[in-house]
Amino acid sequence: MSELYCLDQIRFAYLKDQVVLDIPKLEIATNEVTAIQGSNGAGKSTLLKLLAFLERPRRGSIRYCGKKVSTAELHLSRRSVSLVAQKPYLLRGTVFENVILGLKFRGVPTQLAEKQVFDALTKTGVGAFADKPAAHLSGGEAQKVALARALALQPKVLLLDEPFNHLDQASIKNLSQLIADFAHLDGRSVIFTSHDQVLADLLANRVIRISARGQVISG
Amino acid sequence: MAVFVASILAIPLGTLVAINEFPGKRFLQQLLNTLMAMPTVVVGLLLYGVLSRQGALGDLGLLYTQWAVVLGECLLILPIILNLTVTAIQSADSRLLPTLLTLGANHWQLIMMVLSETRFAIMTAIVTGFGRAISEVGAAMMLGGNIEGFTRTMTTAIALETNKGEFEFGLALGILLLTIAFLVNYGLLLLQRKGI
Repeated sequence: MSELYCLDQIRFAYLKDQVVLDIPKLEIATNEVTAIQGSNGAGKSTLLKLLAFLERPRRGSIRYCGKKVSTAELHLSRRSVSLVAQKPYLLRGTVFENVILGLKFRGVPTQLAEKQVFDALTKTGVGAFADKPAAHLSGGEAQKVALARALALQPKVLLLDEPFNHLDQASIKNLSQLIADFAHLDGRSVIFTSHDQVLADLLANRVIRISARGQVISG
Repeated sequence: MAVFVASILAIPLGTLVAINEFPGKRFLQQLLNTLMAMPTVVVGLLLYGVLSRQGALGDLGLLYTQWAVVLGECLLILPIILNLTVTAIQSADSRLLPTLLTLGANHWQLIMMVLSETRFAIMTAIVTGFGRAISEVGAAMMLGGNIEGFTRTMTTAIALETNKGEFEFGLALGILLLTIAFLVNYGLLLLQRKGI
């Protein structure tokens, strides 16, 4: 398995002297499903933000696909990963407009973009909601639309923050299958956080456990 | 005209201030808060000094022209629209920026989308600037000279008519001014209701 991320001497704090993450060394391989498991407030979401290049570590470095990501390359690196937040934000407009937005940013031709949008919406089971205003969705529906929005971009890395929250049993099963299928695609990887140990063990090739003090304790 | 020019300058600048972190940002916001309350006669006085014959821009011959009035109004409302734009964007949902970034927005796309998502608050900023500009009298009087048919604004006309003892005419102009302000605000309300 080739290396996807390599975190070296990472230290992250939102406020001075309040270290959220302290990771001396962490490697994550490509083409795998990796679960990050830990209690609430352990720093799982912060770790995902670092992996999505939304936050920069205060100390240490992150190598991505074998290269250290410079500030100039941040934008390109961001475009190859997609993060679905725990409480996703949907923009004004319809579900379709939300899902196609990232493809518009990339300048994907309209016809191809529309196909990718409908494929993603169908995969996540919200194909019928395309014309529905995003503001009218329930928590679970919004989660599925946000997942479709990420999938439509066909990212190299799919980052999911507590993706099973708000989902019923059938949706959990569907998402589990979707995660497994995605990671089977060539060069794709899934990293998800969960406080549910059983689900993490069941789905992931590797489970990284983070302590309450933001340190990797196993994995 | 002043509202248009001030908006073109203040909205992109306000967006940049809101979405970026830089040293002195807090001081800048404090300064903008102060400038929002700047008395109109102070703007008039400062610009009068710059535009008068001995001033730095005296050679341009702008004093007592419509351009001088536009410049004065523009300087007066620029901090208002700028500050309200910054506040509007900072008050938006904290998930907005990370969402746009993770969707792959570049800097320009980020600015456009942030403006689109906060458009009602931005429109309110513009309308507030417009309200300040049409109700202003000090700078317009000092820089325009209240020349009939040329630099006379509704507010300077009201001041003049009152001085002349034409109280009823001044009042009628005041009501007209209020009606314009009401119509602009009502237009904004309609846009918000339609969800544009």
